[in-house]
Amino acid sequence: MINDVVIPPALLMLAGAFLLPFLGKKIRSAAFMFITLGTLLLVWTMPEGSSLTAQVMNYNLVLVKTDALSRIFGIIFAFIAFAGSIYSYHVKETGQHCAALIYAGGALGVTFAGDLFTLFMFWELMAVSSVYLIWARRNKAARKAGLRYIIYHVLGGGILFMGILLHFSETGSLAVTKLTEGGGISSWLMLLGVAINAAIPPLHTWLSDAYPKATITGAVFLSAFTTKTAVYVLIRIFPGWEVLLILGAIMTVYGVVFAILANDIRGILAYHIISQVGYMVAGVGIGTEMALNGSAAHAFSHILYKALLFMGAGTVLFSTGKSKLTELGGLHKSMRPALILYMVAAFSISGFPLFNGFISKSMIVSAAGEAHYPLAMFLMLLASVGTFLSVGLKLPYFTWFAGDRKLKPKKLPKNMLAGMGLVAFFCILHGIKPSLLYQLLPFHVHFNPYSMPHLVETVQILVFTFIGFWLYRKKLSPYADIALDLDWFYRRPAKALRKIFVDGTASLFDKTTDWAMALVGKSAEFTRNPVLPFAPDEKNRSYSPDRSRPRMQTVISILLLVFILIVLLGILALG
Amino acid sequence: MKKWWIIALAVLTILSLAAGFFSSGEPGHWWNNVPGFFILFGLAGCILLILFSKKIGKLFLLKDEDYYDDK
Repeated sequence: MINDVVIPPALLMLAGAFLLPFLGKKIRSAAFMFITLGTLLLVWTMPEGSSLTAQVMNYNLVLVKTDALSRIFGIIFAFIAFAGSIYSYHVKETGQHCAALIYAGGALGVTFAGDLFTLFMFWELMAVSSVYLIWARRNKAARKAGLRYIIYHVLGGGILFMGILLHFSETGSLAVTKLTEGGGISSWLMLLGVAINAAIPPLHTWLSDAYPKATITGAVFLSAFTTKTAVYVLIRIFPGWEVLLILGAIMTVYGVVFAILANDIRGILAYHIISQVGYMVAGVGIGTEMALNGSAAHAFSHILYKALLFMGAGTVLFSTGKSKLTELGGLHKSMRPALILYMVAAFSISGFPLFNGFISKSMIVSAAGEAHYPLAMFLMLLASVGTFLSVGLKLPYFTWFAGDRKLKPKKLPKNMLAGMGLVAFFCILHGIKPSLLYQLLPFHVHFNPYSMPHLVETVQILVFTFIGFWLYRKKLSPYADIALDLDWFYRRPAKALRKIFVDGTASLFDKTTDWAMALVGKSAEFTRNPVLPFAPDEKNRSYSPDRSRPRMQTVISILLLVFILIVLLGILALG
Repeated sequence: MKKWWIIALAVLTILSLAAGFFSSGEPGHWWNNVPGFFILFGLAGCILLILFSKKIGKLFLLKDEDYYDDK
């Protein structure tokens, strides 16, 4: 039963993914662009307050429900899908396009879901479609990391669903609404499921493990959807949960520390997703209108500049085939346009004035200050130091400048730079004119990022981070090694676990088969010569019934005995 | 570092100190009354992050690239 003419944006993406393989090979990439652009227009024009319900058995499922919060996330998800489709125009593999469309559709489905069941369905759709963007890299590392990724997400989805079912049985409601902190086991299970997708440490390792191993274009989509839909759900359901403030503030610095140790450029960026999502999670934990505005605004800005960063790293990987700092260097002359576009994103994530990170990150930091959480505020400021250090200085310095490894970069397809240019345009536009972003936010904004104290603070932090980097840049020289993270706890014991559960079970099966075969062997002998166990001297002689037949008097005696017993019992019974 | 980089950084620092001196800080936080507080914060934060990360990296975390590979 459909009561309105609201088209679910997710449906458009999914229908596109279904149609794409039937189109001519030459127009598939263009169709991919048109589908995402169409979805963007649909989301943009969808009025707030529209909804679409469908009756499935006895349940009223709300497939679409729009308000300011779902609208801002919907717009940025659709936009980045469009920008990503331009960036991946040259990719000939339809499977990747389809996976990206389903993945984006899943993100939009979660964003506009009006009930928890619909939300869960799209949540799972995202997990299964996104893993293809990792596997499509088609090497051993990607295959293994993808498997760990999907196992982690299936587990997270299961925990979320468990929470939803418990919540439904307790309240009888499937509505996506705010839950109060400490509301019982169902709320905590749901939070745990969402926290996995938000990559909140210690549940973050799937991200830093898998994203650097994804395809060049796949990583762009991955960087945008999974963690930010989780942030959206956190804003919806868990605003003001103080535990999120603590975890979020820790998360900002956690990602920074590991990014300093990372050698793979996309590994650095992946750890900075964790760090940046930390700001948003902390904003949700503060829970004031300004903080929630900040989380939504920062998610929007972050999707733009993080996609652009991954696009920039992707151009390096595309044109040199390398992504490790130890193998890169001296590319600035041959890759100037890509470098400039990358630096726009680097300035944005570092919170330079006139770039979009500045106008959104500061909302959360200020909200922490206003709500009297000075420690959280300082951790977040420290994380912005580390962000500029790794993404704005270390990565570009060792990739494009320091040393010269005489690399001969391949020419980039124009569409890659076009996609980057589009995203970079909005990073700068929002930095110059914040009201364009602020008007989309769920609450009315009373915040001016360009206040004098804030500018002073930012300039001083950035200038002296730069000086600190310059003084200690030798210390940051990359080495060809990896930094262990908490995935050690399931990757290292994997061998032992395989020994116990796989090899152990296998050898038990083998042993059982051996025993069974031995038993069969023995009983085969027994059937060949049934008297063998009673007459050892029968061995080595084949069975002959005549030789083993009992003597006649024995048989008669037994028969008589039985007869007498029956008669005796009969007399006893009757008497 | 090139000369004009140093000049640019020095000019920015002086401008920010002057601006901080003439504009009143956000009320409620003690650090807004310390001139140049964020100079120290930026520099010390940056150096400490580098040293701390490298230290724990050396102590526990950094391993050969083939650490997880099947041998």
